[in-house]
Amino acid sequence: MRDTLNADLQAALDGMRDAFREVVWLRDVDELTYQEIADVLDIPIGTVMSRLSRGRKQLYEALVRLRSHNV
Amino acid sequence: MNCRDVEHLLPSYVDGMLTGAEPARAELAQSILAHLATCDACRELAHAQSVARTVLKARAAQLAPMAPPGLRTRIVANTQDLKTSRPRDLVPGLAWTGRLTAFAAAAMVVLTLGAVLLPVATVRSTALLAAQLALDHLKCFTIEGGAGDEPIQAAQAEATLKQEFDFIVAVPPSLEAEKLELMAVRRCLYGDGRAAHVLYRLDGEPVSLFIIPGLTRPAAELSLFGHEQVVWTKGDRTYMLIARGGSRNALARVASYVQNEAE
Repeated sequence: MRDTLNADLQAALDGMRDAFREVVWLRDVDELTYQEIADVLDIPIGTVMSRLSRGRKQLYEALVRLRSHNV
Repeated sequence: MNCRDVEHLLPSYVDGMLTGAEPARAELAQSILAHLATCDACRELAHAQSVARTVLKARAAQLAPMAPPGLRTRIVANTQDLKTSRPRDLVPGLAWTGRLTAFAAAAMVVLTLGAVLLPVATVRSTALLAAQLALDHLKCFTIEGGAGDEPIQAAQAEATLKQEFDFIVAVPPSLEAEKLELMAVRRCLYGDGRAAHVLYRLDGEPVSLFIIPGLTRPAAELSLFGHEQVVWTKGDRTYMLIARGGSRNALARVASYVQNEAE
């Protein structure tokens, strides 16, 4: 996975549901806290956590799928 | 603890928030670990979360300037009344750190709209300035000052600034004792290109010095977007040092050096 191409990552991000992608992005790219994410997206912090969990899973599965196609 | 509980708590666990001596956190972490030991599906989910976060964090510097357009639009929509609302988590005083809930949102509005900040010296506007420059910091290091590049001489940097936009400034040179290397200078996008962006590497990690003429800001130390910022004013120029979070002590030493050297 360490060698995942940037193109694969971009494709995986593009394929994510908006609601999941925005939470994952704000946490793992922008490094906002859960509370900050809840505030800027106007959603409960519990929703932030569940979307983060499902979003990361979706991203991982997309990366694995793309990688297997490219091998 | 069942699978649904674990799914909900895994982000905190993967993000390392359930570590430390606090009994409640330790107990949660133990419960999650016990569940993972017996549940293949949740163990796979934990692995997936960890990999996804690692991949994104490793490319955060490249990804940060390319935020999904829809995301910024939504944030703007949710913060339309920000100007009239009272900033939360604001600690009075000039030197402050901490969560920047309202500031982060406001900063994204500014970044999205490409607005130029008004020269009103408040802690809040300093946070907006810091947020904008943190993004410029990341953008510029994707263009210049790469880890494989050679450091440059201060005189060369000063000549470039003078030649490119008639900006006379004493650029602090590399400082071997602090493993600080002067890498490049650029015209900053902030304020219609009036500011100078001096790119350093501190023990290999990107550090930016922004020099903004015609603007004064109160001295401050900020934490925003995973970065540490030190702000000060000398004469009619505002200076801002920016580095990735976790380097506060080293950044403070560099700030002291740069404050003495930069004119």
